[in-house]
Amino acid sequence: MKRLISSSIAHGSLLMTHSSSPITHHSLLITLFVLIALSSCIEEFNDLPASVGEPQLVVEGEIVSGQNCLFTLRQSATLEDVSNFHYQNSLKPVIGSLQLDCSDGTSYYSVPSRNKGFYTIQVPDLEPDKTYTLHVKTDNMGDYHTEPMKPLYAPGIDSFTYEMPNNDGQIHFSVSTADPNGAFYVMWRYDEFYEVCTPIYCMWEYDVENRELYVRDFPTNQGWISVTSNEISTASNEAYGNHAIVGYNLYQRNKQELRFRTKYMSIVKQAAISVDEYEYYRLLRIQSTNVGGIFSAMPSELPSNLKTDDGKKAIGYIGVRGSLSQKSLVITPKEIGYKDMIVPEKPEPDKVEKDPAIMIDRGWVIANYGPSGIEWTKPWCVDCRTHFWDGGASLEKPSVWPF
Amino acid sequence: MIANTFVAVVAMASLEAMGDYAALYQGSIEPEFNRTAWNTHPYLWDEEFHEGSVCYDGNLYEHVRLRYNIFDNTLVVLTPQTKLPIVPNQEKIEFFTMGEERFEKRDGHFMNVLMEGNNFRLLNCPVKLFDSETLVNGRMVRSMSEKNLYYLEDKNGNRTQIRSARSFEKMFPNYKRPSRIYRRSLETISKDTRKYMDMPQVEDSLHVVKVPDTVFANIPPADRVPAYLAYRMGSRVAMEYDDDDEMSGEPGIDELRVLRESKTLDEVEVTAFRPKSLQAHSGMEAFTPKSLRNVPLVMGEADVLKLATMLPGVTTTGEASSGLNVRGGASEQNLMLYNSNTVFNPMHMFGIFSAFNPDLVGESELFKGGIPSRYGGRLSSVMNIKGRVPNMQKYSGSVSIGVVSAKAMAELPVVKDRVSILLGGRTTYSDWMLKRLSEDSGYKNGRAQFWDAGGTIHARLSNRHSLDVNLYNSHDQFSFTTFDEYAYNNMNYSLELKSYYGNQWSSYIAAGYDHYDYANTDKESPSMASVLSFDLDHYYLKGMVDGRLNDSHKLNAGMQGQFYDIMPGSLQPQNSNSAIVGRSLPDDEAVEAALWLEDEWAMTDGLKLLGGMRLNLFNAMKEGMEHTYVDPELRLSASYHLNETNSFKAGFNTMHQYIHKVSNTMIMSPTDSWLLSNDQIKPQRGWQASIGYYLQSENLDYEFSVEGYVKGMKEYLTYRNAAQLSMNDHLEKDVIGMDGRAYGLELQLRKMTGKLTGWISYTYSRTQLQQTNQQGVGKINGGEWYSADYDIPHDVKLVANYKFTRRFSMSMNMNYSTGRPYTAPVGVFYNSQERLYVPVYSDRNAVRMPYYFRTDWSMNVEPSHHLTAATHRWFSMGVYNLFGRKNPYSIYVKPEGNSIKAYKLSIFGAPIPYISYNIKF
Repeated sequence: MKRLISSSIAHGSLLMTHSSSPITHHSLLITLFVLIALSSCIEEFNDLPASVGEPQLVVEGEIVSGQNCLFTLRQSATLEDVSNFHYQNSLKPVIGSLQLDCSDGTSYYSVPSRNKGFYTIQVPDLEPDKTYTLHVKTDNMGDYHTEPMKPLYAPGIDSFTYEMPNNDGQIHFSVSTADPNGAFYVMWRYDEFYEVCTPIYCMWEYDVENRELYVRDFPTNQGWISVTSNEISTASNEAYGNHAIVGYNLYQRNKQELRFRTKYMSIVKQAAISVDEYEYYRLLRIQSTNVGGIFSAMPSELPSNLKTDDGKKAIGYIGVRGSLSQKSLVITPKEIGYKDMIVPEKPEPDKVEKDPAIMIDRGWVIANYGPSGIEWTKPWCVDCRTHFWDGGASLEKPSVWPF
Repeated sequence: MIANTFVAVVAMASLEAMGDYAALYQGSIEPEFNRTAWNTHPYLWDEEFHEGSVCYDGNLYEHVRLRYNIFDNTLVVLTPQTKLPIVPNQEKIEFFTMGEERFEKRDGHFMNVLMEGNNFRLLNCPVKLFDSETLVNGRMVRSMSEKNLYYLEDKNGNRTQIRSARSFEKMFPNYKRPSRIYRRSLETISKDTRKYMDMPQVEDSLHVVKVPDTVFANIPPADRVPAYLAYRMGSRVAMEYDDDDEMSGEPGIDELRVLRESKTLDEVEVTAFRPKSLQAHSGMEAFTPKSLRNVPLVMGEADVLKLATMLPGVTTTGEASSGLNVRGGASEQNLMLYNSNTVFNPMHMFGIFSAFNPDLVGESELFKGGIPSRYGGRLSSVMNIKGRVPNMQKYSGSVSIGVVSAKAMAELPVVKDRVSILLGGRTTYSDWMLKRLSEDSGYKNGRAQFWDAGGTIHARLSNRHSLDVNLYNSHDQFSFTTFDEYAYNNMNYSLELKSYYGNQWSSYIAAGYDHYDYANTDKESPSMASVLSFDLDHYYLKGMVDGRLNDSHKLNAGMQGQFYDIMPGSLQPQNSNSAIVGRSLPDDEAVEAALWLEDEWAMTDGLKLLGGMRLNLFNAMKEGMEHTYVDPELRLSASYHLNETNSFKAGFNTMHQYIHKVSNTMIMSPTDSWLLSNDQIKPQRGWQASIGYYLQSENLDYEFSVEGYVKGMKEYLTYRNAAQLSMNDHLEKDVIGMDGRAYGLELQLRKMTGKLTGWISYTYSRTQLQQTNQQGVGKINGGEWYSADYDIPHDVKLVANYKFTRRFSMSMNMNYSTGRPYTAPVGVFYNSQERLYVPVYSDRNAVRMPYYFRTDWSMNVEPSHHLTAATHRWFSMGVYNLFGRKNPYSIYVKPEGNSIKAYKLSIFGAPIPYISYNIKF
C-alpha cells in the first residue's frame, strides 16, 4: 500500500506539473481521467485525538547468551508531545532497573549506562533446559516482566552469497539456512566492513601556528569503515518447504558504491526467534510503512511479552538467544567490475595562494611537497578519516577484517 | 362440399341431442382467472362468451358459446346446460369462428384470417403477454400487454411475418409510394403523440384509424392484401411505452381491434419502489431498473449496489467499497444473489463499479430483515438481483460509452416468442489511458482493467414452463507498479426452470455453479517472486414450490443442497529463478443442505401472518476437522393493516452462516479469502427482531415508515491482532469468534409519485463487538464491547429526482453520516533496532473519523420519442461529490524529517464529473 500512497502523493505533483504543461494526445479523455485520478488524495490531518492514550513504556534489547546485553527504557510520545516538540525530544528515557531471573534461582542485574535510560546486563551462558524471565522496574511507569522463556538456538547459515541477476548494477545479498527440526523463524542482522584508500598518499602536514611543514607520524591513506545494518530481517521457512529458507534476499547494493572500491566484507548474524517475536517484527514494519492505503491491513496493537501483573503491556518484545550463527563474504572490485572514477580535487592554479595558512583556512590540505612547491587537495583525498561516506573511516583495522 | 355439409348437419344434430355430454365438452374446467391480481383479462375482446362455431375432432359444432384466452392460447367453451367453462382438447380443434372472425390453427396458435387475396392471405395472431407489475390504487397488480402479430401466407402455406412498413415495402415495391405517403402524413402529427400517450387511452386518440370500406373498392382482388397492408403500415402511429419509461415495442402495425375495446383506465403510476406497506416482509426493499437511473452515481454507472447504499439501514465502510453493511452486519453477512447464483466478490476496480451490469439487471430485492425461509446461509441480509428477461419479440440492444468504461447489450429473439437471448458486456479502457500518462504521474506503470460478460437464454417451453440459462464471467486485473499485480475472476452459471400449474401453484428448480478466484503476483524481489492464489467453487441445486392452499393460506416449501470446494491458498514461484518452493494449503470442502416450509396466512383482511422453518445441515469435510452442524431456523413475520393508510409489521428470524470471509482490510479486497466452518470454527449465529409502522397518504403520494430492530450475533469472525491471514496453515488460530449486538431505528419519508420523487431518511444504529473467549494473545480491547468498523450511529440520506419533462430530469443525493470508528494513532515510539519511528495505536476502533458528507448531482436526458427513428440516444451527466468534500477513508501517521505527520486519505476527494452517452436500437 505504500506504493499506492506514493502514487497518490504523486498525483499532487501531477496536478502542479500538468496544470501548466500541454497534454497533447487524447486530451479530452486524459483530462477527464486525470480529474478522476486526482480526486484520490492525501492531505495532512490535524485533528488527531491528542488526549487519547498515555505514554507507554518501550523496552528494547535482547538476551544473548554470554554477551553484555544492552537494554533501553524509554517512553512513547503522545501526539500532544509530538506536536509541541520534535519527536526525538519527546522520547524520554525512563529511569529504572532490569533483572534477569533464571529458573534455577539465580539472578543477574542491570548496570546503568552513562546515557539515561540505557542499561546493560552481563548475560551468562544460557542453558537450554532452563527458563529465563526479565523483570523491568521503573520509577514511575510500573513494573513489567516477561513470561519465563527458554533460549532459542540459531540454526547454522548454509550460505551467504551475492549475485547480480539483472545486469542493472545491483548486487543482491542472499542468505540460506535450514533447520531439520521443522518450522522455524529466524532473524538476521548484518554488519558491513570496507576498506578505504585515499587517492593520494601524503605524509606532509602544515603547522599553521608555527608556519612550518612537518611529516605526520602515521599514514592516513588507509582505513576501515564498519556499518551496522539498521534493518532486522525476519523470515520463516513456511514458504520454502524442506525445513529450509533458500536464497532470502537480505539487502541490495549498487556495485558503484564507494564501499566496493577496495575490499568489502559483510557478516550476517542469524538468531532463532519465536513465532510471536516474528509477528512483532512483521507488524512493526507494516505499521511503520504500509499504512493508510485501500488494501492496507487495519492497524492493531503490537504483540508484546512484557506486561505488568495487572495485564498492562509495555511496547517491545524481548527474545532469548541461546546462540547466534554467522557467516561472512568478501568482495573485491575486480569481482564485480567496479570502475574507479575518483579524481582527486585540486584548486584552480590562479586560486593558489603562496601563504599555506590561507590555503588551509580555505579547506585545502597538502597533497605533495616537492621541488615545485606545495600541491594542494581536499582532505578526503589524503586522509581516510574524512571520507565523506558513513562518517569517515577508522585507522584501526577491525578485528574481523580477514586481510 | 356435400360431405362437409353432411358432417355439419350430423354434428349439429348430435350436439343438440347430447347437450353437455357432447365430445366438445369433455375437457377440464377452466382454472379461475385471478382477476384481482391483473389489470385486465386474458381474453380476446372481453370476458364474455361469444357465439361461434368450432371444428373439433372433425366435427363442426355450431352455436357454441366461446371465449378465446390469448394469454394461454386456449379456447374455452361454455356448456349449454350447466354453464361450465370447459377447456376442450386443444389439439383436436382445427378452427373456430367467433362473431364474424375466423381463426385457423397455425403452429399451435389460432390466427385470425383478416383478408384473403388470390395469392396471399393476411393473418393476425393476437397475443397477450405479461408486461409488468404496477401500482394501481395502492395495490400491486400485474399488467398484460397485447401484441398483434401479422403474417402473410402464400398459396403454399409459407408465412412471412410483417414487422414494419419498411419490411412490407421491400416485399411489395409497387406499394412503396402509397405506404410512404401515409407515413409522411403521420409524422407531422407525431410530435403531439406524446401527450396522448401520457393520457389514459380514449377512443378518439390518434390510434384510431378508420378504414373506409371504399378504400378497396377499386383494387383488384389479387392486390387487396398488399393494398390493405400498405394502408395499415402507413397508419403506424406511435411506439409503446413500457413501465420502464423506455421506448420499446414494435415499430409496425396498429390494430383496429385493440382500439375498438379501448376504454378509460384508472390512472396508473409507475413507481421506482414498491410502498413498504405492500411488501410481505418487514425490512424488505424492492426496486426496479428505473430507480437506478434516478440516483446520481459515480462514473455514470447506474449501480444496483450503490442504490442500496442510499437506503436507510444500509451503509458502507468506505467510498471505494461495494461491500454493504446492512443493519449492523458485516459485508460478508450479505447473501449476494444474481440469477440465483452467489457472487462472492461483487465489485470491480476497487469497488468503483459493482459486478452487475445495469443493462442486464431486472428487479431486485433487498431483505434487511424478515428474511424469507427460502433464503439462508448468511446472517445479515439477502440481496436478490434478478436478471432481465430478454425481449421475445424483436431484436434490440444498446451501447453506452462513459469516461472510463463502455458497455453493450443485445436482445436477440432467436425463435420469436419462444427463445430469446440476452447478451451484455462491459469493459474499462482506463488501462491504455494510464499508459499515456506521464512518468511522474505515478500511474505510468500502473494498470487497472476489468471486463464482464453475461447473458441469459430464455426459453418459453410452453405457456406454463420457461427455462433460463444464465451465464456470467468477470475478470479484474490491476497493479500499482510493475512489481505487483492483482487479478480475480468471478464465474456464475445457472439453469432455472419455472413452471406454473393453473393459477395457484408454481415450481422453481435451479442448479448452478459459482466460482471465485484470485491470483496476486509479487515480483519485487526476483528471488522471492511468487504468485499467491485462492479459489472457491460452489455448486448448488435447489427446488421449491409456491402455491395457494386456499384463499387464506399461501405455501412455500423447498430444499437446497450446496457443495463448497475451497482452495484456501497456494503460493507458487512466479518464475524459474524464484527460490520459492510451491506450496498449497489443503482443500476445504463442505456440504450444506436446507429444507424449509413457510406459510403465509391471511387471518383477516388486515392481518397477515407468515411463519416459516428452515432446517440447515452443514457437514464440514476438511481432513481432521470434520464436523456436522444441524441448525433449525425460525422465520416469523406479521403485518396488520389498520386501514387503507396505516399498517404495522413485525418480524423475527434466526440465521446461521457457515462460510466466513477472512479479511483485515476495511473493504472487500482481492486479498480476502473465504473460510468454511469446521470443528474449530463454529457457524455464525444470529437473530433479528424488527418492528415497523407505515403510514401512506390517501393518494399514495407519500409514505412514512419507521422501523426498529435489535439483533444479536455469535461467533462472528474477526482477525486477532497481528494476524497472518494468507497462507496460514492454522488460520483458525488467527481468527476470533466474537459476540455482536446491533440495534437501530430507521425513519423514512418517501414521495413516490409526481414530478418530484425520492426520499429522506434518518437512521440511528449501533453495532458493537465483544470478545468473550480466550482466543489469541489477550482479548481485543480487554474484552470490553467496542464499535465495529461499520458502527455509524447517525445516518441521514436524501434522494430526490425531479422530472421537468418526460425526457429531462435532475437528481440529487445527499448523505451525512457519523464518522466511522477507527484504530487511531495516539503516539509514537522509536525502535532503535530497526531505526524506525513507529506509531502507537489506540484500542481497536476507539476513535471516530470526521463525519462523512457527500452530495451528488446528475442530469438525465431520456431517449427521444421519434416514432420512426431506428435508434434512440440519450445521455446522462453529473458530478459525484459535488462539493468536493474530502471524506476520510483512512487516517494514519508517518514520520517525516523531524516530526510526525498525520495524513488523511480520501478516495474521491474532489468533484468527479462524468458523462455517459447511450444508444439504443
